[in-house]
Amino acid sequence: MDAGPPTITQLLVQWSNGDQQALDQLTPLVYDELRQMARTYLRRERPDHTLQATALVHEAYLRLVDQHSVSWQNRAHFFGIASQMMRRILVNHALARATAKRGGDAEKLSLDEAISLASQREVDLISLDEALNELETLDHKQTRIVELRFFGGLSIKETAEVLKLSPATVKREWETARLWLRRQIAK
Amino acid sequence: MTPERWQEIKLVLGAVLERSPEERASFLNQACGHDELLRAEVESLMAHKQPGDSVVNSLGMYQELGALDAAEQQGSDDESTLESYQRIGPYKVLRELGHGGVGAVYLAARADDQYRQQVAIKLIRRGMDTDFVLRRFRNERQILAALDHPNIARLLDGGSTENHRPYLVMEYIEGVPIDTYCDSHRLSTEERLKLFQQVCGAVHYAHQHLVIHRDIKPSNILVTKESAPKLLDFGIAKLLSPELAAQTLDHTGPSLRLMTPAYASPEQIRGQPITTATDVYSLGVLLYELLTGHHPYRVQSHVPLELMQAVLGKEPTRPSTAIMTTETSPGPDGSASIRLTPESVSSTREGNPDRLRRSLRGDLDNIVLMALRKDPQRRYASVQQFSEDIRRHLARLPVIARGDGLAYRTSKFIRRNRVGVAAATMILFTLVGGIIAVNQQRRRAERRFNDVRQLAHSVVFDYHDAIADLPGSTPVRQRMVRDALKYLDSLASEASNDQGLQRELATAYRKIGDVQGNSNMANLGDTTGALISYRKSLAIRQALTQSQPDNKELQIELAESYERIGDAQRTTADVVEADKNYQHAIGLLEKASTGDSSQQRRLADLLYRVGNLKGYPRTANLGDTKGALEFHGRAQVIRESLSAANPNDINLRIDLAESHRSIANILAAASNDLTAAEPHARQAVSIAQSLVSTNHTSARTLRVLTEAQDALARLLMLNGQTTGALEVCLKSLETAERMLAIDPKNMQARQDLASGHTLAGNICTKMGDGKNALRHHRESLLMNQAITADDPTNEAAKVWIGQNYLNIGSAFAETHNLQAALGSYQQAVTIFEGLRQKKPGGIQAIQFVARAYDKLGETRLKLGDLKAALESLRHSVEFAEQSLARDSANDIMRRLVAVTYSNLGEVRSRLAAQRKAPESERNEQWLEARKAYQRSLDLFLDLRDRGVLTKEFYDKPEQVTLKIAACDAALRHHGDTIQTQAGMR
Repeated sequence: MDAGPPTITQLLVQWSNGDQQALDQLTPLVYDELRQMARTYLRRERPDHTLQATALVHEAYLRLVDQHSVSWQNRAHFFGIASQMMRRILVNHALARATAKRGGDAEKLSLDEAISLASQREVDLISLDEALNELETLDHKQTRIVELRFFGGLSIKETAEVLKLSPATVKREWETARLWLRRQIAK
Repeated sequence: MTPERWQEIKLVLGAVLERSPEERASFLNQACGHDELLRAEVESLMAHKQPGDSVVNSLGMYQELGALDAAEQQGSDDESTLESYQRIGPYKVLRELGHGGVGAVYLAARADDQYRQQVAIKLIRRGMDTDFVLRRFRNERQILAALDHPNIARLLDGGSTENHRPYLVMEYIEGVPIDTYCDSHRLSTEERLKLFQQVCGAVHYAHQHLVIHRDIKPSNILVTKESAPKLLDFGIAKLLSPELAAQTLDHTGPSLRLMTPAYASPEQIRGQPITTATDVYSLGVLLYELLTGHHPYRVQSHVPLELMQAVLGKEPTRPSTAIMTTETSPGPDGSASIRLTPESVSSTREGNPDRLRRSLRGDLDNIVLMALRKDPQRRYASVQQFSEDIRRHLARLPVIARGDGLAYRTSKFIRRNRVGVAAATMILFTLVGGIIAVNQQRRRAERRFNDVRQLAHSVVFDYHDAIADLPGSTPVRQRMVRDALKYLDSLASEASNDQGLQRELATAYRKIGDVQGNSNMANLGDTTGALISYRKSLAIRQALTQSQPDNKELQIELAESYERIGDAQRTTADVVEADKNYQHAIGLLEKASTGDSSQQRRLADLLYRVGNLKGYPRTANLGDTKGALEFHGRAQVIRESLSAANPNDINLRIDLAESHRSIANILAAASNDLTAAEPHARQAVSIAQSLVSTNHTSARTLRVLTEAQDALARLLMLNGQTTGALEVCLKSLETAERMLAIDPKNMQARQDLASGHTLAGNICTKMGDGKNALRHHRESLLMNQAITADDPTNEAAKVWIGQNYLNIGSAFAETHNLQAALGSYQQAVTIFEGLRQKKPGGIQAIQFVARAYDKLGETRLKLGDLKAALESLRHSVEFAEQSLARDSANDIMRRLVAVTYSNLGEVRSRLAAQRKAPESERNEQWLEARKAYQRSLDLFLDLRDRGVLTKEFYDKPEQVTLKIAACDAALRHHGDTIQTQAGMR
């Protein structure tokens, strides 16, 4: 049994202990699984798929990781990488669908055009992504916090663990980032 | 914005957020100093603090950014330990029993010590307490609480804690998990099978109640000291998982959150529809483990993915082979491994490996493997069949699961018969599939016959009713109906020469029609679809009656089809067609019902309905009062003779009382024959009174009584006998109060009470007793407000509240308290405007708004506030004209508009008469006043010409004509003045 490649669980524990190589090995494994799950999921066109995103991440965790041998900090780290992936998967999906509606002319499609073709839900997602991209230029830390909370469903405490910040800081950053995003989306 | 600037803004913003709302302004002044731009930025961001802003609210993300916080706040007590839960609802927590994925389980007892019974309470983890889950929770709880079986732990109660965490209260079972029990008692294979059969009995019972367990595993089956197995957590998995719930509705979306991978079926892992076959599978895993001590698949770890791959891809080892192997299975926490050997597993079972192997080889291998098949359709069709096969094995009879060949043929057969179902829902799959398999020995025709019957009776009908109240179930209900119709249509085309089947088909179409749009029961509101289905049922029944003209039963069924078509047409207010179809039904029943009192009763019901259709006041009718009275008379005769023959049948007497009451109402309102109406009303009261006083006091009989008293009171009021009317009306109120005392939540009783007070108030007004009128109208208002407080969706009650304010306003106006009247009318306007804006197309709201503005304008006119009066009256005519344009036959509205226009003319001419206004404006006002009076006159004359103008308004046209003349005179005078002025210039 020990001869095989390290399991996702082992990689996760190693990475949490500071092994960056483990992360390189872990990322594609998790991404593949997530994308596959998301594909099945999104095909069903559930109108509420962003909140479901956190459920998906959660489910991926249940599928991939032996929960008997990890701590809650390991869990937070898993969610940390998965939430970023989830954001990309969902936004790509929304854009792809918008493109498909227009007839597959993917390269030439500007974001504005994409938005005009997407459904309300997708527009929201795309505009949130846009807003997050802008926030990224102002404040990287806050962007990560939003990803973890919104796409990963992490609690304040878990987010703090992943980013090595105090929960009070995370809370303050999250609240101010949220106001900024809301204003941006509402524009 | 630069990153540096954002850091500054963020700093101030974060600090502002941490302060209380009162402190924020002064803090902001301090923090920003002269930096106005900084201050503006922070304020603009703060403006996004409150969700609910209509512009941004349309953006889902905007709200979701806030939704997380709510979850976070509720979750803050998640880490809290038992101390914070010394009490859950009315229960005192004794100790924690366990902790699971769903939440913690506590041992508790009722805090009031009323019963010393101990219970197990499952407190649901945060994140599971969304509105959606909570609503499901309430609905499902009722279904689960109805499961009453000796081997199922009962769901006793449920609710939510002060911080909104839902909990479930279950019977507390003292026992050990079934696998531990079997091993510690060293039960033989046969003893294990018998225990297992009891488990099957419980699961089958639940399936009959349309509850699937979804999470069968040893830790959910405890065996008590009395050796009785008890299943825990029935249906809980579904209850607590929104994904799973959605899954039953559109059966999509994988979710593993609440299942135990080791016992999960392939379809659960794939996220495919969960059916009763899912429980068959999990029971198979359980039996496998009980018999062998091994898991069906060799799994090396607790990693769910590996386990799932095995469940999907590997074939389980035969039980008789598995026990001969040695396996190291991972311990429950990943470290301490358990070593299974042939000796170790047989020592707690048959004693030695050979005996154990012999007990399993053959039948039991086949039985267990059949339950574990990957394809749900190839497993046992039901848990009962599974259990029956075990019984046959124990009785040394041949078992179904002997060979794959036969079983495979069976499943092929099942699939063949499902062609008609094409995209059938999982519900149809399970139940119909089960029925077909069970009946596989019978003839084909009979089988199909049963398919149809099953489909119509239990699948669509019962299941539909079971899910009808679930929020969001409409799409699946629609789909059920669509699929069922497809199925029926295909059967109808094949089975034209089988009369028995044809007859069942007609019934099935009728039932589907009911589900689509029978307003007497939970339905999909699809009256058009219902009509189509009813007509299909009618066509079949017509053909059947033609081939067997003497078959009474067929005629009765044909009558039923006509009746349903009539009902559907009545709901769409197609009274002409409804009348025709009802008469067809009556014609058939008159011949077929002789000597059959239940059909006679139906005949009377139909006659009664036609009577109402022809001319029951205040409802859509044919305006045929004579016909109405004729049909009601016929119904009354039948009901009288039925009641005489069965004096103890209270339903018949209730029917009779209702006949009398309807006749009284028709005579009073439609033919204005109050003298003829009174005896009927009194007869209705007397029958109802006798029912109530002879031990039949129920909400129903009281309701019949209060309605009869209400009718009598109205009648007496119309006849000018106000004192008598008030007396009866107060009795009616008393009856309604009794109804409410029996059942304080009875909505009908509250409505009756509210409308009774309104009637009493109106009678008092007629008697000139403004004070008591006011009191009754206020009582009615309070009652209606209580109704809406309990049920904010009750739109009708809001309409009544608006009417209450109108009545209260009138009562104030009667007592010359115009200021108070003004306030009430303003309230009425607000309420009706609210309703109108909510339902922009609704004509009723428009009419009420018009009426309320009219009253408001009239009162302002009386108070001399001409400008405000003008505004109100202009609103009133605007809405009144809208309503008349859409419903030109409404003469009551027409009269209201006529009065409003004359008030408008009055306001205009008084404004015109004011000397301080410029001449040109005054001239304009006179012109407008004249226009208003002219419109009023036209309307009044139209009403009078058609003979529908009531006494009190009869002279109105003449009065208005005089006003027009006055306007003309003023206009001539002004014309002269203006000309004179022009000439002088």
